[in-house]
Amino acid sequence: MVIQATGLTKDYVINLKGKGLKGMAKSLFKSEKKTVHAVQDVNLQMDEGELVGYIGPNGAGKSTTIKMLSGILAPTAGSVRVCGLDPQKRRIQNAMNIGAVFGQKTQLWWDLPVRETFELLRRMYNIPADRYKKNVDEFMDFLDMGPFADQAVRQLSLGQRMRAEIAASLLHDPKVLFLDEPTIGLDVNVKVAVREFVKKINKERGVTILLTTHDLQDIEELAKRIVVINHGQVGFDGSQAELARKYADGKHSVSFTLQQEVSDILLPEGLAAHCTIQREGRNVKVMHDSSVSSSDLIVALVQRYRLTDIDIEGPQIEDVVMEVYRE
Amino acid sequence: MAVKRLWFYIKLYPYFVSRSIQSRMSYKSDFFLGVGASALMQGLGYVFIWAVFQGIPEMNGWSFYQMVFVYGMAAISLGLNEFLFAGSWNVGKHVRDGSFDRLLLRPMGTLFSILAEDVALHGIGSVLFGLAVCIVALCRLHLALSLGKILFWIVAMACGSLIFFSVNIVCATVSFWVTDISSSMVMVQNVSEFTKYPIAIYDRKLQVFLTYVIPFAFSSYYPAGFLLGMESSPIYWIGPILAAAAAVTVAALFWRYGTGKYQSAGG
Ligand SMILES: Nc1ncnc2c1ncn2[C@@H]1O[C@H](COP(=O)(O)OP(=O)(O)OP(=O)(O)O)[C@@H](O)[C@H]1O
Ligand SMILES: [Mg+2]
Repeated sequence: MVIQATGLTKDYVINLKGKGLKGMAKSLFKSEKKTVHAVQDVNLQMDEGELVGYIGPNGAGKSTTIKMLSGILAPTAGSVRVCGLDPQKRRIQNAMNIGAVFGQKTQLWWDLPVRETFELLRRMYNIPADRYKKNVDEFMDFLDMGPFADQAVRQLSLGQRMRAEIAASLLHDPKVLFLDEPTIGLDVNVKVAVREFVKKINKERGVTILLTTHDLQDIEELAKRIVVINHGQVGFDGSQAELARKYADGKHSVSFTLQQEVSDILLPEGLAAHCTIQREGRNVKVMHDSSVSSSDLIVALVQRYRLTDIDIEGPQIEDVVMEVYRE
Repeated sequence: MAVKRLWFYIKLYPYFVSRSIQSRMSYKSDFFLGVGASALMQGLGYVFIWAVFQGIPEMNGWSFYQMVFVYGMAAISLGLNEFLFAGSWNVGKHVRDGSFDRLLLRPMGTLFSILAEDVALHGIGSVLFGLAVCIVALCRLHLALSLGKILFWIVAMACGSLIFFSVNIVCATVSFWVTDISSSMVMVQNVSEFTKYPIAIYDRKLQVFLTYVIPFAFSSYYPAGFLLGMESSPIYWIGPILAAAAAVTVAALFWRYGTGKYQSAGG
């Protein structure tokens, strides 16, 4: 078990400042406090080499969880082990084992060129010369960083910087990688490159990866296993297929056009109970849950009617996730 | 293990600092202005004691040039602190904007990161000024320091700057609870003005305060008393070392406690 979080909980205590000068003066003496339950009793286990998509709506507690796993924040309650270490109490050893990218913030040195930043990291992590060279060459090449490697970080575009961040987080061959919105603000091509890179790192190096993103295509392409967090609590933990099965009821559909006008569309009894029919003239959409297979449905339909333009739709991940987030 | 760790930091420090200077050098005019301003400030202070004490041959047992020596020692310690430990001024900002996250993700002590991140070269101006003033004072007092005393002087200056640094860190640590602390840090800086003069000239309460509460007096008054051969009580020579050790310990423990309370920033 590479990551093991049990009953992980984080409350933020916020001092509420009153409005205006009077409020400020008041808050000097008696501050009103508000507690935000950002993460509540989260259990998360990850095996070596797993890639988990950690998703949830804004403010769900994703970044907070990652900060606790990476040793930035102390949990209010519960326990965390990353590679067997308590990330906060053994912060320095833990830092050697993990890499982290926070899409919203930079980990790099603002005024230094990318190459020098890497050199600094080499010294900081004591990276052996051969590993360092191999990694830098590979990352520079794969993420196409040559064109901007000598520019200061502050002079990079968002997409260039993100590539540099991801490369920087992996130079020291970490066992675990935390990616908090690594594809935020990237153009289509860079996004694809980053996804490929993450996939490759996970596959070839066996790096255990926890990924948060609001781009569901990232999830679809990268994460077999999905953990959904909402209001600080884990609402789902399982494979993509299971997620679809659980939340996609009524999200499958078969659409077609009738070749002749018919008054009513009738289905065999076993199927009818699981289907709803939408109709607009000759265009028909039959929605069904996952207990019905689309092929059975189509066979039943062609036996009775003459159809064209048959279109089968599975659940869209957006719909599924929206369903989960609504809970 | 601990030795290995120390060696790691010693090797890393110059590299980090040279990077920080390199990036700072992109703002060259800023640097020269800083050195100029710092030397000017110290110079003005000197003119001030010269003007005030000109008519007074001595004060509470301290002659003019003995006071000048204290002034010089304070300038050296403060300058060293300014030069080497400038990073402590960035803590508040790191905590407020959440960039402290970054320091916590590195496999290095956070205090080391803070220190290695920033040096203020203009502090050297103050050190050189202090040194010059001290040498002038020694000549006028017709004092030649023994090798032992010169070594003690070096140690005392290191201790003095560590005391300033520790107090700064204690103040900076408060930023883990309170959002804006720079004003309190400036206030404590102002207290350090008192160390430019022998505390013997102050009220008893202030003397106790500068010795036991905020032990700034160990950066100038006490070691100067010993170096000038005015006082022989051990507090004058062992005091600076003990005070520095105590201050660093308190600061490091408080820092560790404070970083555990870090709440980061959203994102
Ligand atoms: N440093 C902080 N201090 C106080 N409250 C915070 C802090 N960071 C986050 N919160 C609160 O904790 C909750 C969880 O925030 P978190 O940043 O973990 O969400 P998230 O899932 O990463 O959201 P997003 O998708 O928007 O990045 C939110 O309600 C937020 O307001
Ligand atoms: Mg977030």
